[in-house]
Amino acid sequence: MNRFISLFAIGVAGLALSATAAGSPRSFWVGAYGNVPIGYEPAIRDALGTPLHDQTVRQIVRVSAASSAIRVRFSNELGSAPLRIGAATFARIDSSGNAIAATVRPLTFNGGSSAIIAAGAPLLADSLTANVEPGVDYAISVYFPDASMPPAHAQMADVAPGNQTGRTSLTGSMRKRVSAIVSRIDVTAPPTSRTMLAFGDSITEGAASTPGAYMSWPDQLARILAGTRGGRCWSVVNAGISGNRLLHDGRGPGALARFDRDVLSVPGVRTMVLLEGINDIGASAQPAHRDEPVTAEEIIGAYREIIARAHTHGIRVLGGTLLPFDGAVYFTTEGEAKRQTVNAWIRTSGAFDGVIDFDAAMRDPVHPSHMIPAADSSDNLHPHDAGYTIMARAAARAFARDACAGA
Amino acid sequence: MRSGARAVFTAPLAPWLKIGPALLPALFFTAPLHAHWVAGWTAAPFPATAVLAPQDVRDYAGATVRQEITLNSAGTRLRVRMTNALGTAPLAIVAATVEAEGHTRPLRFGGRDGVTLPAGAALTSDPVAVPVRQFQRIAVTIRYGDAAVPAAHLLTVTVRYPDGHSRTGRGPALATGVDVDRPRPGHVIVALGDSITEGARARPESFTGWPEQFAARLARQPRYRDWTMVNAGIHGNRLLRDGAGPNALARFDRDVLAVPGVTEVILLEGINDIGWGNARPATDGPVTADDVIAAYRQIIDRAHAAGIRIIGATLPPYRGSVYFTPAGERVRQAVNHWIRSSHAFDAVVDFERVMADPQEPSRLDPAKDPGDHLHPNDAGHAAMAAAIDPKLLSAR
Repeated sequence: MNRFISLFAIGVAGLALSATAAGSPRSFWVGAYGNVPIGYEPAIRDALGTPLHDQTVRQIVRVSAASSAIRVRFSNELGSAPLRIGAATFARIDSSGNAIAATVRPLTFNGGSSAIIAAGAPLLADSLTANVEPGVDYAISVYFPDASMPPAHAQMADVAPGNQTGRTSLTGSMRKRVSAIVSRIDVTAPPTSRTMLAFGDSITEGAASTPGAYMSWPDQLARILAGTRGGRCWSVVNAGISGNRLLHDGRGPGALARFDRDVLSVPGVRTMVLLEGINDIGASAQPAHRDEPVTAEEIIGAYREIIARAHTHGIRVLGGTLLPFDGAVYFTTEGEAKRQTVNAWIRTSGAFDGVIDFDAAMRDPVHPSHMIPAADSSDNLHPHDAGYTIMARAAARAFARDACAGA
Repeated sequence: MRSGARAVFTAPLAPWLKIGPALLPALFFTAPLHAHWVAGWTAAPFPATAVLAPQDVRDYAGATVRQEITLNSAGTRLRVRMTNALGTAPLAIVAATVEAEGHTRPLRFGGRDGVTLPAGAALTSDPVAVPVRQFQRIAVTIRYGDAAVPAAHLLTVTVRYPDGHSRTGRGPALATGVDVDRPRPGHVIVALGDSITEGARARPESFTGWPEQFAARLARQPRYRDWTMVNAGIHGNRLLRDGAGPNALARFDRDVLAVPGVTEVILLEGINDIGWGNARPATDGPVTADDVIAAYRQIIDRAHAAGIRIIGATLPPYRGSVYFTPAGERVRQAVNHWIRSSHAFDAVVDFERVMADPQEPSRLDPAKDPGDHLHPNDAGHAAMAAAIDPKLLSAR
């Protein structure tokens, strides 16, 4: 860290001030938004269903840390062919959902307005000087000139004909679930900043929370941390994928397959929270996945692997105990036994750098294999907003042990 | 990288959140990060390929496969990383061993002998408590189950079949990395590139690719004792297009960011993009200097974001090689000019200057050319290793 500070000082004293501008090697970046790739999903609920072609997609994003410069990462990492971006813009959104004219800024790629993302690769746009803050909606509008099936992360987004990236309001648009290819936003930050990365499945992504209300547990944790002196150095990146598993591909690559991309490529990560495995357990009981049974020992083995890889890169891992799921569509008593074994290991093995006991916080004291009714979205698997609040508070207690410098 | 994150949890309980003392022990176990695992050797994976030569081996069903590895770093213990990162189906290992210093020890995964690598994933073995010296030769031997056609870097392996016969040939080498635990993290330099980095046309038995020769140079200087060089070169690899392995932009997270302890990258890649992209007849061109430079800028930004120093290397001459054209040569000149003059890299190694024929600078120096006018011979690799000023790497 110190070398960033000393180089900054040299830059000011000696060379041109531009040496310290956003995007120079001297800048310290942290992850501030995550939307990790899953693949192209034409058949998902509310899907556009057809390739994008001569259309603009407006993806709504938020950042978890204030900054004066951003760098946007686009994903073609799960693609097998190059993907062309015709144009892209960044803008602040007003309360009616339109871009604010004075804030519409082109995103450039090595100085140009368009780019081809290589097969299997991400693409970083040139860094953009723009003031951003948490709690505000921004739009990243991307124009796809060619027939494109971006292998990204489906989100509800506005799709409009032609290149409307420069427009404040879209003409002829429709709201559809469509591949949203902005996979991350990094922001410049003081060198004392830290990133918390939430790695998991639908319960981390925030399934069953109020749409558009940013009520996932990582979103709520980010707000708790931002409101305290000891927590405000943290930015939060959500690397959750609904339906994701540890050991098998399914919805998105398995956790062990996506770790390098979704964790190690994120700048500034100091701590990751790992909450995954319930889909591995649940799928083991489903006929569709009869060839993919998973034991508690295999789940623990995956945790050990993730911990070893994170520690190798100086990243701490907080283990989240798996939530109760009695009554869920894939619940079985065998699965419950696996969950208990896994949770006991998370709590007692000492393998993690810390534990967030989501299970203890979320289980019904009367029926501990069930979620607290008041926290349950009603599918006996996913919490709703109030349940995610309980989870965020449980997580905040763990982060209290690692207060920001100077707090 | 992430230097601030390495500290052990020592901060006192923050006063800004009230927590009952009774909860504390359950909230946090402190697992100190005392180990310094760094890469001692790597081989970047690529997708399963067809048999390319008579001595090639692809199917390991029921076989035992032995792979020899020269470690570029000493350590107090080691662990082996097996890859199925580019595999499309789970891959089962029945058992594996590592031989070092005349002793053979089992490689275990979570305490077990066998393991199944999920599709798309790599797995790290449990640590093996065997001290290793720098440049020590070790061997990793893997016994496979009934079905095994791995996707990994092609290296020389010895395959013993269930019927007892064995053969030595080129096959996928599942061990993609060996990490060593050493007293200090030190520096790990990743050489990212194509066949010239992989060491093509250097005699394989003589350990003479430029990264290995440079590693040997560093080892002779006490102040670089904690420096390690690992090789992420892939024969035929390109910056922007797949073919011989995933393109550099696609493999960067796996082959660079995931390398334990990486602190520096030397990037020497682009001649295959330029060559094939401007060949006659064109294959999938044209590739312009701007295309190559844009790829460099991506790699630079991604390295810097991770706190990694990146050193650019100029592309050696290639006139007379199979894909040379004057148009390609103009691109190479423009790219090299940019590498030298843009100051986008943290430092520059001028391989072109040391490899060019003084009489005809667009050709390889005949003394360094094995005859294909593209790859260096042993003397060429030696000249490249000698061209790197170690001080350039560490300048902060």
